Amino acid sequence: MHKLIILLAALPVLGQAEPLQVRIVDVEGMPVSNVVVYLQNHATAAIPQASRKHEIEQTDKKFAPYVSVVRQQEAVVFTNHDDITHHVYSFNGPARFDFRLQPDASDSVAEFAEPGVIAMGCNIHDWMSGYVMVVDTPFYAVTNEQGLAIFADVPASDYHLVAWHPQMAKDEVADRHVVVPAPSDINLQLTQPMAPIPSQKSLDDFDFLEGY
Amino acid sequence: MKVSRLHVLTFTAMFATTLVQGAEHRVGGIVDLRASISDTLPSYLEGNFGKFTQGDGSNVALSQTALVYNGTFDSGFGVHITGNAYVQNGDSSAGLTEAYLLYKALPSASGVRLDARAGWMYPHVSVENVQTAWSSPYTLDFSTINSWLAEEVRHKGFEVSVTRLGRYSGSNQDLALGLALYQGNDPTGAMLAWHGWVISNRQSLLHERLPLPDLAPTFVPAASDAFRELDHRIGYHAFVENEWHEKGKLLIGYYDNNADAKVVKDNQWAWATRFAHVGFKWMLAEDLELLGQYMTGDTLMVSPRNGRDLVFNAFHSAFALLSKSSGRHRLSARLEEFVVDDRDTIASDMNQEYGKAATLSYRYRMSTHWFAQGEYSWIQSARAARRVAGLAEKLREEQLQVAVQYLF
Repeated sequence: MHKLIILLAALPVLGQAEPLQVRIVDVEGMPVSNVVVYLQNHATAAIPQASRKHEIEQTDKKFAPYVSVVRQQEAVVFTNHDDITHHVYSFNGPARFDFRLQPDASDSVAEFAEPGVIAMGCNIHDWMSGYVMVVDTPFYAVTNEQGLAIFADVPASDYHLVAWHPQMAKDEVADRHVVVPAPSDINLQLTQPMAPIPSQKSLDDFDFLEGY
Repeated sequence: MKVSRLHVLTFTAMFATTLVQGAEHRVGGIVDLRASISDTLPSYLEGNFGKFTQGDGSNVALSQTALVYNGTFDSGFGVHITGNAYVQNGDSSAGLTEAYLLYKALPSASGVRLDARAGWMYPHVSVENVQTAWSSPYTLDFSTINSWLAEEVRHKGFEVSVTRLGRYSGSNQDLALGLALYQGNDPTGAMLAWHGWVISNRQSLLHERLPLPDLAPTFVPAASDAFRELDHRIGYHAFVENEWHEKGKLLIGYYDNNADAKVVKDNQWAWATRFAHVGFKWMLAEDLELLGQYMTGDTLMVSPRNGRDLVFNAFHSAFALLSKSSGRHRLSARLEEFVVDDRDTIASDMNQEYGKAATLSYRYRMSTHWFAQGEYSWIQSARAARRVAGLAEKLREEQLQVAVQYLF
């Protein structure tokens, strides 16, 4: 019995679910959208998988959303809304894939077995750029236009909060220790300017381009 | 209507191959109907000295009807075939302008990608002709440099390029190096020598014979077979291109057809033609772009009997094009200067030419596929051969065109 109590005490305790808001601002205090924010501790990986589905669209020769976050093993569906074919591929991270996606077609990738950042491109349209961050926690979100990552139900506990965006400076450490329930919104300010976010536009921004 | 049987067979064979392989097929193209009023001479297309596709007066023409077929295999291999047809000046013709197999690998783990093409193709020189069937989204008629490419600079060969994609290393630049080895363009240089620079959208069909002005020297044929192989030597084209993402690109290259200048068959001469070229495009603002190209080179053909230079011309041309877009509207203005410097001693064959040109073009996108465009072109040039032919050595040519284009 004592051993069991000691064992339980060693694990972070997941208590009653609480809402949590995390606000990400840049060095000048302006909100930053499309930032991945996730919370994890030793217990989060063991939380049973919920059946969440994600969609990454190819619209107007762009990946939309530009940044996605998914949990391991969650299904990601790629849908081409353009009237031309895309050749989606990943070029780093824990999963490598490539597939051609014809107009108005969908394909899915659900084999993100390991956490990490997956950078994607299109081998026909080099200017297209997209990212998927794979995490091993169910507590993840992407910031909205107000820079807010909104978590509806986070069990009371201690967490390691991590924020990530592909254009953050390489040595930016955007993480901190948080306790839920938090007395107020968590504010996290970046310490370095972000690189410009790619517009995913061709240098030759015309329709009916030769070769496409 | 002249259609080469060989090219039809080639097209059919390539198409059949992709069908068998279960490739993805895509067809695009352009239909360009134009009305024009011109103050010029009879067109160079009819073997005269006019620098536009249309002769003097008012004309209506089906200036380009092109079908582009792209077949793509899952393996990265593909087929690209462009067929063009024209109805103009009471004449009509149809045939192929490009036909090649292509290969595009996936980038390696370090972000290096291999691209290859094999067949009949344009060399990678133009920054204007980025639209389907090698048309331009900026102006109805191309710059003098790209009009020359359209007329007689194409080849049958193999091109390979290696691109380092900057994204892989956090860079915002892509660098490409390319090399082409080719044959099938030995007479290239004849049109530039004997009718000079032009402003045009006509792309010679691969099987076409191109009429030349009626000039005094007996070594000038009635027409040029621009894409004929005469000496069986291999030419090359090397290029390097750097793209700064969302900002601009710079393309530099060197082209040498390595022709044996003393070879002649059926009064078709091999012209040793070589040139260096630079092209750039830069986004001055999100809706304002500046393009330019410069080309400098020379072309030589000699007497097979005594090795004397029959034609030795240096040439260069440059243009700058400013284009502003706003919603459905696009306004483009181009200025250029062009020279042919006749350096041989054959007095009866005068190829000397100097000129300037200006083009102002307005394009309106009526709907997804339909465009309306109006364009004014002005060329002022001095050409000694015109004086010999009883025409004005110094000449101003002007043209006003309106076009309706359907792109798909």
